[in-house]
Amino acid sequence: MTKESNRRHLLILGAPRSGTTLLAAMIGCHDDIGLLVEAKRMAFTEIVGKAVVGNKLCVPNQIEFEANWDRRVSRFSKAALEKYLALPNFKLVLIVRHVEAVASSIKKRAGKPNETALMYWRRGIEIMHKLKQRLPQDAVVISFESMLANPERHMRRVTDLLALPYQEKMLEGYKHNPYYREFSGFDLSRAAAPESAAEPADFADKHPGVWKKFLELRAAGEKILAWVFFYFNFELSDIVELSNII
Amino acid sequence: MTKQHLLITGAPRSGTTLLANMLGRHSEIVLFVAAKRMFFNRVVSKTVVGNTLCVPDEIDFRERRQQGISFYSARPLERYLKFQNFRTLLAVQDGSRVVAAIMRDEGETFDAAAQCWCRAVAVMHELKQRLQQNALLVSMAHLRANPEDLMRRVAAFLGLEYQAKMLEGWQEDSADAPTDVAPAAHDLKSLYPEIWKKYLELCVPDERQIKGGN
Repeated sequence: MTKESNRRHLLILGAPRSGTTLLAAMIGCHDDIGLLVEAKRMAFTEIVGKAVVGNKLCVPNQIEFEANWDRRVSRFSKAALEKYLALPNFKLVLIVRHVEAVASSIKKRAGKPNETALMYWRRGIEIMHKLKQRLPQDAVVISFESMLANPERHMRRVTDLLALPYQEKMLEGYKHNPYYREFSGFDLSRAAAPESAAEPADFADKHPGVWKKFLELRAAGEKILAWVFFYFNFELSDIVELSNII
Repeated sequence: MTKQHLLITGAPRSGTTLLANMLGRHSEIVLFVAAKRMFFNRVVSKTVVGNTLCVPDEIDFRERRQQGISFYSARPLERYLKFQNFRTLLAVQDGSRVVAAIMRDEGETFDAAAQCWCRAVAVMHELKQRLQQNALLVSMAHLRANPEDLMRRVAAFLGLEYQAKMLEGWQEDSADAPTDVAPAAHDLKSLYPEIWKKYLELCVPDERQIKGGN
């Protein structure tokens, strides 16, 4: 099971402040998974004895399609996605969260200006959308709000992707979140964060197409809609209509 | 949950990688093999995290810069000793077989292989003295004679439940296990009497373990 040829390589991606660390802590609880958080280089490939090894990174500030050479420190400041895509048995878990929640959290926690926060979210969505199109079978998209509301369903989707049995202990991942050790459960108040499909004012004019990609990714979080969209390339209006029917 | 930091160390060709492969099967352990940096700090949701490094080429008390190359060939052990809840497993293997295996597998001369083994014994002896109860000696002889017993002891040492799947590491990775080699013809005991004395001190607890003593 853990022989090199059968080992799965996992990358968890999401914009900063999208719940990537909580998601990693939950997945990392699985017996057969060895998972790192924000480790540079491909360090996880040196883990032994696990069926699945992987890393969690924030996009775009920690990873891009091409590595970013930082002249000031003479080293790469971002990992290259292409290196990950070249790994055998590569699997991807993407997490998306509403732009307003992400932007306000980035501003509050990291003290970054609103424009920087929006840029992170937009670029993150664009990269994740491209990845989902490139790897339709090997990528799972999770909506942060939906994960809080129904964590078991999403953990089952992840274990299905990784060909592992589901384990209930994954639901206790919040206990291992390195940044929020005081949590005694899921903060369900955040599950109700701006979940409406409403686009922020002026967003379409300034950043055309990004909101649509976000909605497509979020729809991909639902199995049926993902199948319909990515295999038949339905228009967004069809997806919304189907969503209402279901 | 209090995270424990583990270092598996020993001379090259002493079974350190096999030991890591077995322990890495445990649901609460994530182990690296020969990771140059302390990436195990980045592991989430596990009780025991650690690395596997050989003495002296990958880790030593001193930091050593490799001649002609701009990176360090051995990281200092002192950095590991600063970790909270730090424990170490010291892999002890028959000295003359280790030397013979290094000569065969790495193409080293007897002198170079013997120096490598001597340094490994000296470092492990010092580690055992400094860490006392937080260092556990394990030997390939014990692993071969009774792998389940050894895994049970290691799990207890780490405060974890024994898991039968740890033995899968032995079965699946047996191809990579140090194979039997003829012992080196040289007499390590007479060539390095001080080191030999330390080596025997490291071996004694394992001899007792194999016989079922404490």
